[in-house]
Amino acid sequence: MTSHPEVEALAFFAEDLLEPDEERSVADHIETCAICATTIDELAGVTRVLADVPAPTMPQDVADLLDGRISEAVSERAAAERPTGGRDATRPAESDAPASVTPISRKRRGFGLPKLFMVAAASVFVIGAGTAVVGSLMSDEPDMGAASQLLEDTATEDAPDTARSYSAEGVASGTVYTEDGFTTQASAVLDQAGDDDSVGVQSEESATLPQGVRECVAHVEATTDSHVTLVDDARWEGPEGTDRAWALFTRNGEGVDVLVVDPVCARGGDLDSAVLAEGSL
Amino acid sequence: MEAAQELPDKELLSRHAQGDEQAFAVLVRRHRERLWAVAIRMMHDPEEASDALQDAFLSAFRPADRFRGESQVTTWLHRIVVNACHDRLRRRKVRPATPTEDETLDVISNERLGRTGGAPDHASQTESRLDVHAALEQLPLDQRMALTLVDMLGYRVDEAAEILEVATGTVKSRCARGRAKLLPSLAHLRNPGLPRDVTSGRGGANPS
Repeated sequence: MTSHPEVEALAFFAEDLLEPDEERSVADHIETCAICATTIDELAGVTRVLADVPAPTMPQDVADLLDGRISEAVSERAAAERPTGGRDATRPAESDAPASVTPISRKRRGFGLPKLFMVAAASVFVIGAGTAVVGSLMSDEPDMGAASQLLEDTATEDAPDTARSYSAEGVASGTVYTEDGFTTQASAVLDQAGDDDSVGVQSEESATLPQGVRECVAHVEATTDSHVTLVDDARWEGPEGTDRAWALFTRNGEGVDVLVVDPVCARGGDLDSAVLAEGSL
Repeated sequence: MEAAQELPDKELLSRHAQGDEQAFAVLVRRHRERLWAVAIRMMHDPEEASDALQDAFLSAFRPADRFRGESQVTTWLHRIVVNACHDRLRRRKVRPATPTEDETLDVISNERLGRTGGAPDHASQTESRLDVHAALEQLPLDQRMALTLVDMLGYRVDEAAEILEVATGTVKSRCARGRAKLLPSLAHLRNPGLPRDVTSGRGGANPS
């Protein structure tokens, strides 16, 4: 008997891909060769093994994330197409959209499309469907005082909807926050978030919204009755090494509070156990 | 939005192109489960699959990549998702796999099976899944993508050919080469009941 055909030739034979003469010789061979006949069965077995691998259904957080990204893209497109904001520039179709989003973005457009807005498009993820309000955190322009006030007022009125009524902005600063230095570090991140040169150099990778941030922000806001305006996807240096952590910035009157949390806070439950550090800037 | 839910895919896309703010989201919701199945099987990691889908949908959203009408909308969406996965897999090949991948797979498998106990078939199923993934990682991307579409997901060869933008013969030969390469690592996982009555010395579902 001639030597066995290559496994690949058998796989091609099974797919009818061989040239006629080659096909004939393989066919003749398997007539009398149980080993190669078995190999052909086993090749079909490979297909069965592959077909049997179950695929998990889409997790809800992924579905929510996709919805969020798309409505973000829709808002960006709407803003780009109507830069002067003739009518409500964000969501004209939804008259019941929360009011706190648009007044601020209009206001910001009023004094020249702010650099922060450009930063947001280039390197920052936005949580929720609205426009960025991070400016209210760090700006000392007099207009923003009014805007912040407005945000505050609206937000306290419809507290249950705060997670959706405006958006927090996020950065990935690469900071490794430490117990001793986190307030200083957080101040630096906050300053940097207002400076488009430094934030602008972030990689594309850092612009993706980490899973769980949205849930975590909602949990923190619900628990502490505060409004997270900026999230830094960073790290925390604990006793057992550094681990991923999120620094959540909230406005507190004239100042800013920072809360460094472990990503487990996305699961809800006792917030205190997820808080790594807490302080005022 | 009831009206939008019932519009055909192409109509949704043309409304989206004209500035409609809801149409694209309706289209995505309509197809995302199927596209997720593609992405999770290509990437094996939920977070990476999610990233790939985001890349894909944002790319489909943009006018530059807009649907041009030479194929079905679903084919076009699949192509964009497959390309997004391909890009990520190509980048991943450059850097070694992270150790967390195996843990993730265990988690998926536990969720999938709806139990946490250590039933023997659970353990072996997890193990076999890891074997499948490890084996697929060894294949050239072209073969892997063809096999994922045709063997894992059950797309017809002509559908896979359209998605991958190659000839049907190319899909078949990539699948054949891929199966031949996978055989040594997956032969032990094949279903015990072979259609033919020819079993090699290794076979034997009966321990007796």
